[in-house]
Amino acid sequence: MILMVILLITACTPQPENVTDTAELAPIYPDYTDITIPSNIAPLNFLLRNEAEAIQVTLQGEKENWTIQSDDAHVCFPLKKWHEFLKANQGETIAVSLIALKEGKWVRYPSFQWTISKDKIDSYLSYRLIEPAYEVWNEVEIRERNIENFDEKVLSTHENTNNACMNCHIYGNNSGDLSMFHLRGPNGGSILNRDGQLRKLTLKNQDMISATVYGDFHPSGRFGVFSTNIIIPAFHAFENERFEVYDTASDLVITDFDENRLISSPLIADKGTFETFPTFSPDGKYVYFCTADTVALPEDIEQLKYSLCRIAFDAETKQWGEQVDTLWNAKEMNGSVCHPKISPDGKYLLYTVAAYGTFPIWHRETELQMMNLQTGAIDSLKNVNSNRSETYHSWSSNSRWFVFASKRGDGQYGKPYFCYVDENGQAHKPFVLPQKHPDHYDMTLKSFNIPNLSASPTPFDAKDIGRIFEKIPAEVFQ
Amino acid sequence: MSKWKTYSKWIVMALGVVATFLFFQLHYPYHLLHREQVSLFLYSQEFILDKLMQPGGVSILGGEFLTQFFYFIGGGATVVTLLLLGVGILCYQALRRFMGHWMALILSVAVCLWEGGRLCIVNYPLASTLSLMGLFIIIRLISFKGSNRLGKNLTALVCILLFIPFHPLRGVKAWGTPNSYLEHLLAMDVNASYGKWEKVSQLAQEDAKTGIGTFYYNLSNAMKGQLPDGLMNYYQPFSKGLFLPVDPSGNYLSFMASNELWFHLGDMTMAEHSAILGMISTQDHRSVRMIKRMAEINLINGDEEAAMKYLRMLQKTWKHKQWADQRIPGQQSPAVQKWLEHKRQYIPKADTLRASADARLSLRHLLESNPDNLLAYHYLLCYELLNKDIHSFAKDYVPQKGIPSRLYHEAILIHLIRQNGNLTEEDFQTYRFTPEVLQDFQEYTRMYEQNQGNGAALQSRFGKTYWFYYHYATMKK
Repeated sequence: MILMVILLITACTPQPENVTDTAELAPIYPDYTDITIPSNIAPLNFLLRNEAEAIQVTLQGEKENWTIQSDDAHVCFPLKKWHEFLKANQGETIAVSLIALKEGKWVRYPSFQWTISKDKIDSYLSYRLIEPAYEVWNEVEIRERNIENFDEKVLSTHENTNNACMNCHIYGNNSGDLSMFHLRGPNGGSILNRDGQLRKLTLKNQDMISATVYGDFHPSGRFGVFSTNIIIPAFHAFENERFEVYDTASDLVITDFDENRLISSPLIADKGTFETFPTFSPDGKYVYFCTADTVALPEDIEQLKYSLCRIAFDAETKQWGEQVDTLWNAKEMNGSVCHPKISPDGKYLLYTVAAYGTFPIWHRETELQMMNLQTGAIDSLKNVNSNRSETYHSWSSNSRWFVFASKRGDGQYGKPYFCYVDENGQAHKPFVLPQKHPDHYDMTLKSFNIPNLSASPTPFDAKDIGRIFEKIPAEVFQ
Repeated sequence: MSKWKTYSKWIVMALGVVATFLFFQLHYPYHLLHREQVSLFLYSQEFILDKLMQPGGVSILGGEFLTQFFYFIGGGATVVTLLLLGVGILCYQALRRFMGHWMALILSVAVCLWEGGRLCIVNYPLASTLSLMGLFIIIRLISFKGSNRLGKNLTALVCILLFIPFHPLRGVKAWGTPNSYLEHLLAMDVNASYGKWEKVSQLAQEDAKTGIGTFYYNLSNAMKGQLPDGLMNYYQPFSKGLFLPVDPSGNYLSFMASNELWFHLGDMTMAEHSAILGMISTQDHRSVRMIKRMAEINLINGDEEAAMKYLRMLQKTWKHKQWADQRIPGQQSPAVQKWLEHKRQYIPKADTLRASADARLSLRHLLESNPDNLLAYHYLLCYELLNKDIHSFAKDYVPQKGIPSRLYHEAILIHLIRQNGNLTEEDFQTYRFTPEVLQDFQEYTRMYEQNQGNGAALQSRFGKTYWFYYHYATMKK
């Protein structure tokens, strides 16, 4: 019976014959051509945009070849065999050759390459799934994907949180045992996960202008650094510039999760300047953040440009430093910096640059840049950026990979892209998170927000969050 | 079974089929047409497998598949009738295992009436009706008393997995009845989406003074070039009858209505904003109508990559594939190209930042880009008049633009008299007042003074003038 089924399936898949070569590049989607991939990534399933009737793909490694066939325009690699092949070809560059049946004729496209890096990427990726609406949300979820396969776990869902808005989930130290996200509205609070122990926190006191917004963990896990922002949404009118968000006030605060304290500094609470997007250096001795002089808003929004600065922090005395250093001067560079993130090895600082403002996700000109913190050299990452925004990046724990949300393609739906940074600091062409079904990104109406990498999974799920949302009162911070 | 018993079944079935079809076709068609607009069935492997892999997958997939046929006039009524017929037959057959003919027949009719009532709920999923049918099949299988009971029980188990969702389906309620008010609202909504403005106008006239009824009344008048002429002939809850809120206070119907307005005005950002909110506020976060609108918006904005996102989805549908094919960049028909050129004349040529509720700034911005945007022009003036902002109206009013409107004459008279105390020769030349409006104004003023501001005396003759609105309209809380 099984043999008959196998024979039937085999008989149904056409075999290439009378193949002709073409110089046209294969119209594959997602664009997985000439990329560097980690040896632990899930299968790079793809499709051909030309509605091919059958496809034969051959992966030509140094040690072995692997051919698979498809009887439609979709190519899906079996998971087990895929990982075996990647393992066998680690450190190698393999050629991917593709023959497709189109309108009854077999065509061979120019082959492309996959370089399989020995440097693995952290296996877990969290993101918020949300429609790209503005001001209003409905049914938001935070999920965690195992990027070695297609398993996905819901960390928090609207179903368990009375459709509350939830902000994006961040890991500390690239570990599932340290993470946080904010749940807004009644019963809300900041959900802190430390070693699986969940707490709900009210990270606001009477001196703060708002609850905490953007933030990061101190490497000790004891502290967090956050911005507090009065956020104003506004709509552009021209073409597809869509949406802008600006602050009318913003400050920084450090949270002490052991003593339930909020620690601020007069140096970064100046009403004449905005401060936002703080992040700790990997050694925990500095807070990097973005700052701008206030301007009349919204009329002078294009003059609102954020510089990149840093200030010391002493975890022993719990004191902010006395001096602010500027690393990237907005006036000199004529741009606005957002989302600084330092690689765990402390070598690189990755950030986005927009023409102006503090909400670059709808700015087409927004690009990633990478600063070498040892030399100060800035890499404009030309082969990483696209003609749409690239934002909200996160490093892998080995500092060899980073993930970022890119709106390339349709311009509206953010997708997680992975980029390899080799030992020379050279960033390679990025590729999108692979999906089980190659047309997933075509058919989804959800945006992947703030992708974050972790080497281990979080120990909680949506049920735990539902319980803490409903039953546990939020702890007060002073 | 006696002949009468057999006949009774057929008579009940025939009566039920005719009554159900006529009810849904004649009295309730827009609920069904609308339901297709807020669904999206994709012929994609991922979509189909995702549905099938859920408990009750056959019901869920089957329900969404059948909803596609609601697109056609008569399609919805036919599908609903056949489903209810299936419910009735299966229910009768299952009940006959436990009771006699007449009791089974009466209970089956009652079940059909109950399910028919639930099918009147706007978001009620057909999957629930299919699950009910599956339930009756399972009851029949389980109650089987023959020798091969194991086989029947296994079949029943498979049916449970295929037909019965293990969690409540969205939109399912225990009880439903026809909602004539909502049917009326949906009639305006669906006809607006078809661009049948005469029909919308006619329906709006019958509306019972609701904000959304006023909205469609004004929009249909505006699309016919009659916004100011009809403004005072209808209930106007200040400017809330011109613009519905596109914020958390809205619902998917008001978002979709707003989308129609902003799209026709030429403000693609606000049109897109309301389209996305409309879509995410629907039961399944999918709406083929809004997907089509998003494709149109991005094509008008010249963002072909963004438009392709939505066109690719539509190419995976059955009924809207052809529509999408005709709009693929590089393959557009001359009619589509001409339509795009026309629509592009009205979109803003420069940028500004505004809050979503700042309709005045948005309208002024549209007019700065294209002073010939008459829809935006009339909406701006009427917005100001309904807010009793005569000063802004006088600034924005261009007497030479379009056909003189009595509404604007009435309003500008208030402004001129307030400003100068009298009319000058220049005023007469500029505004080209008709003798009737001047005569009425004099009479209104005389009666107003004579009655010491008592509006009751003025209402019968001047109740539909702007002067009366200006003096007496108050916002109900």
